Amino acid sequence: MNYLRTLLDDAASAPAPPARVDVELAVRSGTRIVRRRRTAWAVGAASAVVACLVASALVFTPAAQKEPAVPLPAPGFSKVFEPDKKYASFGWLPGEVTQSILETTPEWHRQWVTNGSWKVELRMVTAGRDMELSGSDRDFAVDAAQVDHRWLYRTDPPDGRDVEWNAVRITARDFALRWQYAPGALIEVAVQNADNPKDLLLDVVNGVRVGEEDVRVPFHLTSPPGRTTRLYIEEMGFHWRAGLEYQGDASVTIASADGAPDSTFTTEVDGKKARLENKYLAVVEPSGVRSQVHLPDGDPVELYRRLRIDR
Amino acid sequence: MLCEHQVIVRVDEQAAYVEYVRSRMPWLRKLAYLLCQDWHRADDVVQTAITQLFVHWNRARAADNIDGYARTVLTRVFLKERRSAWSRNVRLDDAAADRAIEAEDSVTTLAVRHALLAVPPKQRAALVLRYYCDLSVEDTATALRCTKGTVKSQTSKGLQALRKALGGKADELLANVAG
Repeated sequence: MNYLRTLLDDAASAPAPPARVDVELAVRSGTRIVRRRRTAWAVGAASAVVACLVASALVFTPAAQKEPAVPLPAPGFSKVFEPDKKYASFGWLPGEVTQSILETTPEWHRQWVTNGSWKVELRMVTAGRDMELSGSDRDFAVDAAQVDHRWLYRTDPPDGRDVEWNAVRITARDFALRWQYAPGALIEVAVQNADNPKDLLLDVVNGVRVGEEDVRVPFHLTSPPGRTTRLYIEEMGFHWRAGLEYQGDASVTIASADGAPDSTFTTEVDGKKARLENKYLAVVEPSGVRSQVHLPDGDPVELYRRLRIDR
Repeated sequence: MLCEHQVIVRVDEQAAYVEYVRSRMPWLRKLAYLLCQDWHRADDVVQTAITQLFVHWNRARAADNIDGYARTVLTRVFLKERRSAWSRNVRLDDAAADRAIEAEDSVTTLAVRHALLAVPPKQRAALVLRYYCDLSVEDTATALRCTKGTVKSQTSKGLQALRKALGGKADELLANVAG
């Protein structure tokens, strides 16, 4: 009797969590690999010479470049983010970005980019705050007590810096790596839907540069209704949307032209077609750009008149 | 006409591949779990293995035994993954998800699972292929890309490591196992 087989069978019979294996992804990735190999075969002698040169260049590239070169902490980093700035940049992404989202609040900063297939997300919180692990909440800056740190696994990067692997996996994130960009301040990069997500994540992390940078917001208010609490900028091809939120739930958003205004634009503000509803005012600018202001405790028309579009 | 024919063949093959992988998914995950002892890592290994299986699907279908081909691909992916720098950097041996599941396992199962973790990957693969998949020394050697002698020595060392890790339970649990 193969008693060890019975033992192994028992050991393998542990209740399995739902499978994360994606057959369609395997077909897509496999098809790409097959296509790449066919293309490689079709390349002639001249290309082979080029390939040799490229291969030589790769061989002589220092191996350390593949390791997660954790960006150095930024000394004296602010404890509060200013919502008209971004605080990190992707030095490298696997291809052209077709859609991007940038958000900043006083407590957290987020950048999300995709080319329609792979997705990369960068999240940062200010010093002293922790980060909700699953990436499913928009307001991900939380107290450390709210985070189940059992899901984090310390890794040993070559430079000895503390890097933690966030093992929480949900549909929106395949792999995530987080580290401290300044004492007590966390940054995390996550990837999804890539052919080789682990390698991609390391390459992206390698390129991340932490640093304060102004963001060009395509409008301003001559007199803001309060302190800015959130910046939001989304770009997708020719379409874009930018917004600022202020203390007291006031907000201003402008977006690219979106066809002719519908029948709900029944009023006019300063000779422009508009819709006023529940303290929300939407206006169609002469250029086609849509403006929307919200002022719960005041007159949105008056706030709109303080808006200057710079785009 | 040739193009149409090729497309039809490709679509048929893809359908056959999807049908095969879906039907064998529980088995593939179970085998990967035995090798990895971690469901997250097991799923990663299966994902990579089925991608490679898709790339070599024509060869797999032409093989006498598709399961054997898939098993070999999966074992090699596991061993390759264990050699990678990423695997060395990221240790998920005590993953919380698996900890939660442990509560439902018997004491013997837990002991064997923990003992398997103490066995080096190649020796673990040799044990799983020889004793769980019932492969011959020759077939195991083919799957592991090594000689028959290496399989024998890896199996023997694997059993020793397993006995050592099982401690006092070893005699009771492995009484009938040669090696």
